[in-house]
Amino acid sequence: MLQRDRVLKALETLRKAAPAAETSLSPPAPTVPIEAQLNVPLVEILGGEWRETEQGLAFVKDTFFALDHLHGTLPIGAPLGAVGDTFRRAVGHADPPSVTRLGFFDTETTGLSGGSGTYIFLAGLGTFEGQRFRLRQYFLPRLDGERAMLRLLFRDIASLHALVSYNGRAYDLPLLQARRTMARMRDAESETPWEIPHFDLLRAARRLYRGRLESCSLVDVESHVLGVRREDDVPGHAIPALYFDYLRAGRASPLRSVFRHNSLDILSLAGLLASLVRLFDQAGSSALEIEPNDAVALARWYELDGDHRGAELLYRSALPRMGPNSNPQRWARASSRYAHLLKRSGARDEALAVWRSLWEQGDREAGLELAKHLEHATHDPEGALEVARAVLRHWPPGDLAGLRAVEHRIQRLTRRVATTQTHPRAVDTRENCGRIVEEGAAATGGARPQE
Amino acid sequence: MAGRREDTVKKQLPLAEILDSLRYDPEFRANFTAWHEIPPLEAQYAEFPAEIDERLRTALGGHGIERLYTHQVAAVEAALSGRNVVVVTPTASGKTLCYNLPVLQTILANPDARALYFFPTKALSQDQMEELHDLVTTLGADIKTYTYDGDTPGEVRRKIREAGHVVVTNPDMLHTGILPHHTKWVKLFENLKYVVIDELHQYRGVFGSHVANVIRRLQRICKFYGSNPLFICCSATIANPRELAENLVQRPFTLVERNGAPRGRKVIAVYNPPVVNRELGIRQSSLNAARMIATRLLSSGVQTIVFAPSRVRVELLLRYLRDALPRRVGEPQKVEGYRGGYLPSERRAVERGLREGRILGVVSTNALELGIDIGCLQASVLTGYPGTLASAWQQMGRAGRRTGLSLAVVVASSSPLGQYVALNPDYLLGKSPEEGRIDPENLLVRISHVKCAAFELPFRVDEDFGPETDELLELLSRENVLVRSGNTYHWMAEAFPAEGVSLRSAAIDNFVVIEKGPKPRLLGEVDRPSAPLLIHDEAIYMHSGSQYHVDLLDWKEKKAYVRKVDVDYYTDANLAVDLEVLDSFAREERSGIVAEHGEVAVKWVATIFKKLKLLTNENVGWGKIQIPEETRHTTAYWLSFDDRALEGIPQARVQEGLSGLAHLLRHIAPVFLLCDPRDLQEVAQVRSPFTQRPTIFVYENQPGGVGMARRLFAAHESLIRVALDLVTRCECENGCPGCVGPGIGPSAGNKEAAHKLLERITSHAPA
Repeated sequence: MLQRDRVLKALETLRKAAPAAETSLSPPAPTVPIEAQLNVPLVEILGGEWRETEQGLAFVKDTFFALDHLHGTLPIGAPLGAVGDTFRRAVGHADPPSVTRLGFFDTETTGLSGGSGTYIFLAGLGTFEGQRFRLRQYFLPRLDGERAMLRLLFRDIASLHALVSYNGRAYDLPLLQARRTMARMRDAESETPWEIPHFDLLRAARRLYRGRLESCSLVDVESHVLGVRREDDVPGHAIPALYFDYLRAGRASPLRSVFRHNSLDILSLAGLLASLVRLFDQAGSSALEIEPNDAVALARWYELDGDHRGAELLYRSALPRMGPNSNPQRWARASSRYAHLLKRSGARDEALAVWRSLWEQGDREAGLELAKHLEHATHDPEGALEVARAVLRHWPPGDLAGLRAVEHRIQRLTRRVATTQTHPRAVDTRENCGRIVEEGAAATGGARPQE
Repeated sequence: MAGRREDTVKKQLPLAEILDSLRYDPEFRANFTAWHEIPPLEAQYAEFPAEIDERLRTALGGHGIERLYTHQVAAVEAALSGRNVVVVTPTASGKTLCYNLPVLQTILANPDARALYFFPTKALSQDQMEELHDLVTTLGADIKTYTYDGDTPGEVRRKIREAGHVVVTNPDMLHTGILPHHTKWVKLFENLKYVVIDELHQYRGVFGSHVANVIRRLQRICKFYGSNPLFICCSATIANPRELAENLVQRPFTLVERNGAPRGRKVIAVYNPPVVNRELGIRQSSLNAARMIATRLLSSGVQTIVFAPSRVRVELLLRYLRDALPRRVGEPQKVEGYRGGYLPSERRAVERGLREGRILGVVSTNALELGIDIGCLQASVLTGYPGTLASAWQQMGRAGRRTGLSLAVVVASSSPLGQYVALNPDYLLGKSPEEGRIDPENLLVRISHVKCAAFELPFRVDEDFGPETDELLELLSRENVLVRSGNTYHWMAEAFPAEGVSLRSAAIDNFVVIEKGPKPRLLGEVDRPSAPLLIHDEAIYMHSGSQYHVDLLDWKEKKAYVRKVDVDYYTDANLAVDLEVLDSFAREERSGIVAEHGEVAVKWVATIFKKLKLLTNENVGWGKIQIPEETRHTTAYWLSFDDRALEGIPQARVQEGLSGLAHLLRHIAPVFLLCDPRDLQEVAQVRSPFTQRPTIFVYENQPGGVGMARRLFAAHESLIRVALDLVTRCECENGCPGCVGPGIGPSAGNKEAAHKLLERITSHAPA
């Protein structure tokens, strides 16, 4: 029997034996000879042009947008106003370069699994060029044309001072690194993407919208923040198949939708950066204009950055507008953090007021804080004991660690009440008591309103 | 005499006396078919190779190693002079130095140098790791050694990829974890100087064929990064260590096989349990016989390891032996078990207890056959011949010290292979162990790895990845898995191909058995070929000695749902097998008897099952099995007979004779192959559609085969001779499990007919 026939038979056996594992062996599509692939008129179909590089021909497509081009609710030129402290805060970098030196970067790939067989077949890089925004897309017309594509991409990045991406730190850049290794490019120019700062907007999106949006995917975030509605957009999971279809059968026109998808992603990066900076601007000048949920999330960000005063102001402006009713849990969490900040800045009475009102809503952690305050600040162990006992009654029985901490506090308070009655001047010097309770409280998770 | 560690055992008689009393005991003596003494060997030392760094020598001195054995020096010199080397290393011969020395020497001289070690299992790599680590610590040099396997935590991995000088892993991890992500291992691959493959003999059959392709992929990657590592392999005793290494790595190797390690006097005995029912040829079970011998040894205070062929038998023997050895209250157990399924900490405790002599006996599966350090015991008892000589020697080698006497007893089972060994102890003692066979060119295996390799690096059109690579590439691109661009083929799918390819078998899927209940529990796995027989609807599935009723077999999802029951019957399924010859590769005809090998399609379908009463085997019911027919392409070796060859055999007997002969040939085949009898199957056809004559087939279980059929064809004459010899010498009347299968009921005449067939074949063969 011919080797070829045996191989075919073996393949058939394989497919029968494991249909699930061999989905790639789908019914064969008509195969176009390699020469035909070369003859696909990409320039006509996709726009763009061929570029000569020392590593062969590359295919790039430039699209220009006027600065007042609206992407969702914002003009594409909006980020250009970003300067100073609010810009620093938004990107989390002490000395960010000028916006005109930023590259907004995103890739389309042949799969999500990673590994050296996953290719970047389309990379988009957006930059501000004079009075317009230039989106340059680097397309891989053939899988053996990677060097030329990467050469152009690296050359353009080399003139930039920072990259902006969405999850690029964990996804696009490592993949790009793998491609660079596969292409054996070791010159300094191709090092730039890893040497210049990288602003990953996914981090910002997570800080602001985690738990508030359905997901922190770019599509969900841009729709919420920029009001972008993608119509007829090709879903991400369908993209590799379109590219494979092009490679196999030379069908390039469906790739237009992929180019469009990539360009929307990049426009959104610019829009997100602008709106982020604007949010920080507002926080400084007109905090009352910020949507209260945004303000609360931003306050948390200020806390993480160590700006407690700024956080306190944001909470103060947002909490009354937010009110406990729309989302009691989020409100309680934010109020509690606000109270901690108040306590920290010495505004004990204000903190006490917040905790008292939280406790009245049935918030157990607030009850504990109240008890602590009564015990240590007001020197009212009886009052503290009363609250602690009430807290205990509402503690969920499953949370043993928390229960133990509360019981521990009650025992100590009971002893103390007894001692105070006999030795009125005794003072509790065990400073770590509060800490124990806090650890217990932290373990219990969110508060729950009383029924 | 026999070492110091037995101090914990009170008043032990000299081992020689204990052995004598065992050998001449009236209960045993008639059943020893061999009592063979291997004389002691003096150590042979050689000078340290001149290249070895002084620091390394000093460090070795710190571990009590002042001199090297001859084989160690030969291996080290070969490696340091740039040759690939394979070292044959019996137990306790200091094999790790054969590779650790050249590797450490090279890293000392060039701190950028890297080495990759791989061991067949995770447990082994842990063990070897510690040894290397100790040596490096003494050496005091900045040499980082890491284990990289499925258990390595994510945060450590990056560090290992960057900084590990010696990375210890296993072939599966190399296959799915390292090679597909080679761009993260640039440092390693650019500077890879040595690849160490320990336990080379484990890489045989399908597994070895897969690993050979993984190594091909490894070498492609190395080439890409400009490195060209040397290979150092260590193997247990097999017939063809150099050939196996060369097949596995596809490079020339230098063989080092003269061992310089000392060895004490050793007795190897073969024990054939007595026949208890002559008519049916039934012998005392090897388990009982092993229990009696082990009890005798252990109660005399002899530190003993007992090997058992399955986990269940380990547990049974352990219980028997513990019962037989009285223990004072509060005294720790003298005998422990060791098998897969024990926790790592339990295993470590047993290993330590054995090394330190606190544990007198251990009952183990072949888990302890591998190079895990348990020191050397005084006696080893093998319950049944383990199937291959390489395994047998490793298990026997567990007893035996550098000085002093030791004993290894092989207790034969009643299988044809067991009986062959019992009747031909020279096979065990002679100098012709099996060959390690692999078939890296097996199409199914290779196609899988061509895909993985294309994922890792595009293929150049003229690249060599085994014969006719270009054709495979072209086919895969027609299947739309690859795409050709200019002079290269590229991976073109979202899937990650290595995940769909398991190295441990050519068949990809297993069925899982799930115990139903409020918290469903994964009970075990059943391979696809066995699934129709073991887990069809209403089957009684046995696991760890318990019975489970199969309520539902979900064929599509590959899941069987079972619940625990306690019933007085078991089930036995009938399998209808149909075999069709697709292609004959070679043919040899001698006076009407034709031997061939080639490609076959095997179709099988489970038809009905019987419910049989436990102990009595009384038929208490039956049912139909509704499972789709399965087909597999594989390779087979077959014999067909013309009328002359069948002359004198009554027509009615032909079927039984063929079945008996097929049974015998299949079970005896491992004598010539480094394989397990379960890797083969047999079929007898009174009139084969292909040959148009009575034909028996022995075919390989793995899809595509791994070259065993070809090998059987080549060994055809010896195979027949061995089979005839066994039938002639077997004491049974009408066939027994030890020769042509049990001669009961309708197959009562199979022994005579099979015997005649064998005589015909041999009488026609040229002298």
